[in-house]
Amino acid sequence: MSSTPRVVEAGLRTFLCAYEGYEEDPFCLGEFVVVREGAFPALGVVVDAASGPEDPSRPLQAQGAAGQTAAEVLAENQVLRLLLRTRVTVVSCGYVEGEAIRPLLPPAPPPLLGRVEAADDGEVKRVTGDGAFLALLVASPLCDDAVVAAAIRSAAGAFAGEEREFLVGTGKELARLLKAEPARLASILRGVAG
Amino acid sequence: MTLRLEQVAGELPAFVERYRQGLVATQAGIGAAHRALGTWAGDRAGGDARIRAAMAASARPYALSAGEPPTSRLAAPTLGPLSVVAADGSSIEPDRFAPVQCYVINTGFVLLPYGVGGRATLGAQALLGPEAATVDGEDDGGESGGRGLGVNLLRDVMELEMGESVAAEALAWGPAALLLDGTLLPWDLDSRQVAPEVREAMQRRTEAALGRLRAHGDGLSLGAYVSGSRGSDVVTSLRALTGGEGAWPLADAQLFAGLLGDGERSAVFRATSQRSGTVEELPVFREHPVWFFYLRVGGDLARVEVPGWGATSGRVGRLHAAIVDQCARCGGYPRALQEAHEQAVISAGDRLQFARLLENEAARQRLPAQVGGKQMSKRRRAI
Repeated sequence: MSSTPRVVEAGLRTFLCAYEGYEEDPFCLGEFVVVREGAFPALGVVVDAASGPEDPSRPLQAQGAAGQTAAEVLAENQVLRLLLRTRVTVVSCGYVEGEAIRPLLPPAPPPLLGRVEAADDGEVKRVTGDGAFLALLVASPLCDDAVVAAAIRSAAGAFAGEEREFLVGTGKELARLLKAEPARLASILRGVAG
Repeated sequence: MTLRLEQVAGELPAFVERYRQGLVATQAGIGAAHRALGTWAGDRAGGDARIRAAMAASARPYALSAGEPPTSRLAAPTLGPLSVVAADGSSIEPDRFAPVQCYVINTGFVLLPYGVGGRATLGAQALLGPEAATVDGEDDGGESGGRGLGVNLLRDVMELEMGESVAAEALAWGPAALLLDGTLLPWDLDSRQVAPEVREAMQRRTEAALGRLRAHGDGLSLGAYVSGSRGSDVVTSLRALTGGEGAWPLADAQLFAGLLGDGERSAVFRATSQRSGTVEELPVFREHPVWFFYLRVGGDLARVEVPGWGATSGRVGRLHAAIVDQCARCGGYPRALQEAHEQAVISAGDRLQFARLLENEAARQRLPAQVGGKQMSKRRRAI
């Protein structure tokens, strides 16, 4: 299954998106996504992804013959895909206004059922280039050190040939934001170094 | 507290003990019934003739043999590629305190392909009725006019029609088994509490749907699944054969529980009776007689009803194998039926929301509110 996830809960700071069913390969941790619909198309960073039953009162039972892989069990029981959902939580880190991409909270939430797509390299570079997006991430209770580090690694991938400059600039911005939290800064930098 | 449990809890041990003693007392009867089954198997034609003679003077349903020895215990054949289809329904009965008398029927359906083409499909279709709004008065005895409007009957008929429709799609990909929840013929098809014109219309629709199912041919197996059956056709027939006195099994399930192993089915039997005014006298029963077998799945003894024309060994074998496989996938109950139920179910929240939608629409159209004292007291619950 590879459906386009859609916004199912929308807020200014976070939005939740869901695939139509179970998605083995959802957006990755730290990936930049965009909802190109609504008055202010919103950009955000994936902070969590979870899969499970659509109806929480119906827990998924372990099933399948010994030796069967998950793919084989799902292929034999197609209905399971229809009863499961993969959901991805996104923290806002910018929005589009006219020709500009602003690394700020969007003035309005993205529209419910808006399609959530991977941001292209140009969008990622424009929203992360000056490092301002980091302020929204480090302030979010949903972004622990691992998420911030994953977002920086993800963004660096969009700066082909200019990765070092991007990482140096981002490091300086992080140091400024976290000057009172040296332990957190060190943790994030270790995460970026991988 | 609404129920003072201490007032009944003390009586439970003795109550359960009496029931247990009753079961013990039937053990001798079960043994006698097993022996009678063997006798019947030895002379099926003679046994059937004696059963027919006995039921002439009885209002009870009986079973006749249908080609297989009554003592048969058959393992499920190997399951080939097929689609399993199921339909189930749920309804909101008319509320006589509501501003407008209406009902909702939600029919869930499932198509599950196993080794054939097509995609797994889940869905439901909701219907608001009746087509012509009722403004007639009703008797004051009942809480609702649902029985008179035949809501349960219509729901059962719509399940059959929905199942036929989805099965027709599934057959494009190969063989299929259609499972229905409950009896093959709608329970209220002969109910005097349903208005005659509604009953007759439902009888025609049932006959038409079963006719279309029959026309689909050998590729389709049809079975109505009654979990935890309390049917007693076979033990009644056996009693007629023996003239048995004393303790006797109350239900066929008690008899077959000691005969069938896990996944095994009994012989196919024909349901019959000479009761007057019941479903057996209807044209739909003559055209689509109910045959049945029992199937053991874990601790459950299920009765599976099939139309007489669908009781060929190939169709029954496919149905048997499909049900056993479905139960293995879903903790002892057919997966397709469970999911059809989940699609159909109308939650308490949905019911409340519908009631509010109806009230709001009635208010918008300035219909006079018909708020009864009983309804108000239930809502207010003031002290």
